[in-house]
Amino acid sequence: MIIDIHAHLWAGSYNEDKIRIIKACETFEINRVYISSLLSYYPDENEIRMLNDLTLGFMRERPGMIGGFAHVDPRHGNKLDVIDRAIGGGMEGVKLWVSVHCDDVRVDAVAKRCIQYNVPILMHAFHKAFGQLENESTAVNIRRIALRYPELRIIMAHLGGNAYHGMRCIYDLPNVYPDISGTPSGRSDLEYALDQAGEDRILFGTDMPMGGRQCLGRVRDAAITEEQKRKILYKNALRVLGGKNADGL
Amino acid sequence: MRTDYNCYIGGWPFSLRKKASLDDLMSAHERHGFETGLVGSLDSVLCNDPLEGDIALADILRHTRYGMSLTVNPMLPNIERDFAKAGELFDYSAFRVYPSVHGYGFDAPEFRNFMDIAGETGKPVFIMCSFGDARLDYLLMQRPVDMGPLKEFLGAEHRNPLVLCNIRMHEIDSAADEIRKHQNIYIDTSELKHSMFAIDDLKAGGLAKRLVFGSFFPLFDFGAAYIQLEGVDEDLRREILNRDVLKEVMK
Repeated sequence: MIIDIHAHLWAGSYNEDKIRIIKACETFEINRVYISSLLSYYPDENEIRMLNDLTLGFMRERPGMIGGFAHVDPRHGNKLDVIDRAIGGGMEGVKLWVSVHCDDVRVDAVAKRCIQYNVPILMHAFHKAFGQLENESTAVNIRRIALRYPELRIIMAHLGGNAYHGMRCIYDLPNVYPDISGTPSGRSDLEYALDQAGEDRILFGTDMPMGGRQCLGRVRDAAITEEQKRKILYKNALRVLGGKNADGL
Repeated sequence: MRTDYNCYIGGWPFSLRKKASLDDLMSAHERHGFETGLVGSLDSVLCNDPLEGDIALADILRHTRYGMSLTVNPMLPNIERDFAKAGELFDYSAFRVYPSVHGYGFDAPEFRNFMDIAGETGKPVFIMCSFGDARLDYLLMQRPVDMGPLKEFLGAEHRNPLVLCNIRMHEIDSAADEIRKHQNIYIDTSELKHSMFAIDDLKAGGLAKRLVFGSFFPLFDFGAAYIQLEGVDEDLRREILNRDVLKEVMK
């Protein structure tokens, strides 16, 4: 079984993205993919509603295959309504991208609502040597918010971008689940992450439709046990999702 | 014969490469049915004298079924000495250049001088269009390759086969006309990860015939590169894995 905890629809190409995601699931036997929809770095409230409607629409089209994370912009006055509507519509988590750092005080209300709903937040995190966006979080920001809300389950995207930067920030935080999605695919990164954080928190993700098959290749080829692979590919995801939909898989 | 044209052995100073010996490379290759590869020296990339690492690599590869690429930094003075010395000490099948790491452009006179020398040999030139994800660099900062001069370089006639390694999909798209125009330009598969169905996309663009397999072992996961071929139709897959245009350069 495979659960992909981190994939997207891009509003500009969502029809093509849907086709590619479905094809990828069929080609690589991925059972369930968690989608959030993206467009601009600093969306307004209308854009957020449109994006979450795309996600909900895809979930309805493919109820077994597609799960959803609500794209929430913590700057917006209606952010809690967005979460309520999304969770009410069947989404299973919240996605924060790059409009504010994830430890910004405006995230606090989002964190509390997610704790109330018992759903995780997928937080973008990417430490870059160049090209860091103004409000793009790194694992340093993840650490701060994770310490502030130890009861909140946080999915740290992309192993923090650079695994060697990311893992040193969160290795000791049991509420942070690093996902391996995205294009960085340094050999030994996965094994390094396991060394640092243990086998019970690393999650499989692809960042589809922007590539993604390499993430599966690295798990398949990793010098780890079959049980560790199963944990990465789906067991840890079931736990971070709070056991929801586990019966259907 | 399945061939990996973009693999290395040696150490990398910025993150410990576990299991990066020749035995480990051979083990990864055997697991996926590869018989051989064109190996570069990771040590040489950052050596002040790249030949030091290449001499050590030649000793490791001697009497194996693997070919070797010579690491070239054209910005070093008197590189002619390196070619002469390398020719005396060991066999090598191709040149490998690292413009993003060694910091020069395709219009640099030193690079053009190297291409003149390489042209005399007819050996393929493997051009590393990137060397891993530059965003993750820390102590060493790559200077990403500028596509304008690269396209201009590719647009000119060259006597050698040219293999663009670690080139990304948007860069391939940008240079597609030049690549299509010249039959001696090839693309390795190691950085196709930015598209879920990259090989299908390249096939649609008429470029699949130019693909050769490269893993970028041990800096990338071998499996992360090999999975690019999954779901690709069998004939094309066989072609990519066994591309014989370059086979003549292998020992």
